[in-house]
Amino acid sequence: MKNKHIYILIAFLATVAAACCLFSLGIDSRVYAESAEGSDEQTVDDSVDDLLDNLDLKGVQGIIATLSSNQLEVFGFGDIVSRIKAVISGEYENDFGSVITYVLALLGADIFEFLPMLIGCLAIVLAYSIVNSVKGRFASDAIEKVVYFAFGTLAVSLVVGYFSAVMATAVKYVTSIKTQINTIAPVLITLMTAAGASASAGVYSPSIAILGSGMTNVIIYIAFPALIMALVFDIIGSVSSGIKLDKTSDFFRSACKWFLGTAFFIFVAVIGVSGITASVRDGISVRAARFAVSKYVPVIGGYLSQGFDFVMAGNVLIKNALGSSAVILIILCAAPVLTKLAVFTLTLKLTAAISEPLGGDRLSGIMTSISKSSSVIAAVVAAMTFLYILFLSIVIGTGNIGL
Amino acid sequence: MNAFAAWGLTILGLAIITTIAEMLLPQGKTRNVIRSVAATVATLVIVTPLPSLLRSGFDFEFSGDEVTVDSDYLAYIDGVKANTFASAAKEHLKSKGLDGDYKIEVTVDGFYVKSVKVNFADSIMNGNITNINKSEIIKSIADYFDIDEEAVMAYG
Repeated sequence: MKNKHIYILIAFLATVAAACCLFSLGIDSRVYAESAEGSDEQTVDDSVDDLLDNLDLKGVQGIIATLSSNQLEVFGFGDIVSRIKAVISGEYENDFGSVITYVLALLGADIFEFLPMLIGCLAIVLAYSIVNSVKGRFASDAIEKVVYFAFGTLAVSLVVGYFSAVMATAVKYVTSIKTQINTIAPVLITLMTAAGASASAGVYSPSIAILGSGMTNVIIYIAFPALIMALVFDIIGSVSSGIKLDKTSDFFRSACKWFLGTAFFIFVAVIGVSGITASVRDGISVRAARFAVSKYVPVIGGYLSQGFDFVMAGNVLIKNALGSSAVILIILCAAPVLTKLAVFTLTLKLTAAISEPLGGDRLSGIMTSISKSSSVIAAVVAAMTFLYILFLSIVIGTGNIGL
Repeated sequence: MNAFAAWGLTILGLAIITTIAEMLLPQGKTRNVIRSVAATVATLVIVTPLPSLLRSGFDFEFSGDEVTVDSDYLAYIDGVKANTFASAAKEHLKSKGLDGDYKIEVTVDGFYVKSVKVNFADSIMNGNITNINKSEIIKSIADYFDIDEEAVMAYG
């Protein structure tokens, strides 16, 4: 159990670290803009405006349209083009304070959402405890089992209802990540190609397919069903004394963790190494091209170079601004799911903790078992978010060539 | 997925039946026998998919659809580059005294010039140039972009 929390904590810290890196990259992009502005401010702005006019951002706008009013408030803009322009010009800065306020508001709402479950479960445990103490020694062992089965089924039905809602939110979120990757990544790859980082674009294209299709499918069609199965076995094992399935559910959870952990590790290793080499190759090829241009045309080389600089700088600035906006988007989409899972898991643990002294040892065991599955789901969701943010940070970090 | 769900539901059903049977049956040998039988059946049901899973192996398709880039945008960028090259070439030719109303169309491949088309159709040479010196313009353009003269097509 402690390990799971450590994994979630590591994933969360890594996500925050990646986000910090991205915010710093966002600041870098403004530095580039300022340095370019030093030479000819109007031309760079015009170049960015022209490029944005020709770039198809309808898909990204469609994702923004799905945000709630609270999420839009944190995002800052209802229009992606305005946000990109504001980030590039330095007029808008990502505000951590509003993100934290938004997360705290979500936590409050989630606590109220799961409060009826806590009260309901405690009422069932209390009723079970009272019935158990009242029946005394007159009731047979069979009746005791029937009473436990009835109360256990009632408590499980209540918790499973909430669990299904949380699970549906997690599945919806993973599907939305898939949509975001398949919408935003092609635009980023287009901008990288336009900026001359065609080798990096070639390397990242298969990674997008793996991340946007393979990984999400593994989670939706293998990991989540395995976790549901683990939950079912946990419930069977807790309610039924005839068949013990605790170890089977442990196997499912463990297999899920190992499988996803290995897949995530391989993905991060491949994208990290190939991304770095491709980025270096792009940098060298672009510098070689510019050197060739200035060498063969010494008189007007500067004119050519400047023309390219505006196009390339514009593309890179848009890529970085879009990338940082994508990070904010995914954080805004992940926050409600992660807080919901966290509050649900903690509520179950709290219910188990309060139930134990009330005499509901076995019911407390059911709650603990269900909380194990929900914490693994939280770990999967956090890891998938981390992978996407990592991918975005690598894409933003590479391809800043020729600036 | 259906087989996976069916497998889980079989175990669930078995567990429910066993629990109910345990409640209904009185304490004694029969109850223990029923419990042992149920446990054996449950084990068999849990193990059943393993041989077929090992036989078929894991063949999960990891790759997805190919990423489609915005070709219109890339064409626009190539157009911007081509126009920049064409303007630079005109400036270069002007500096060499080869100014005129001919049009230069550049085809780019990344950061390099692939081919150039020079349209002399509406050409009216100015100043002291009385004849259109096509071969000199072609040679200058080829030298300027460091491409073969065959890559520079002149018409008009």
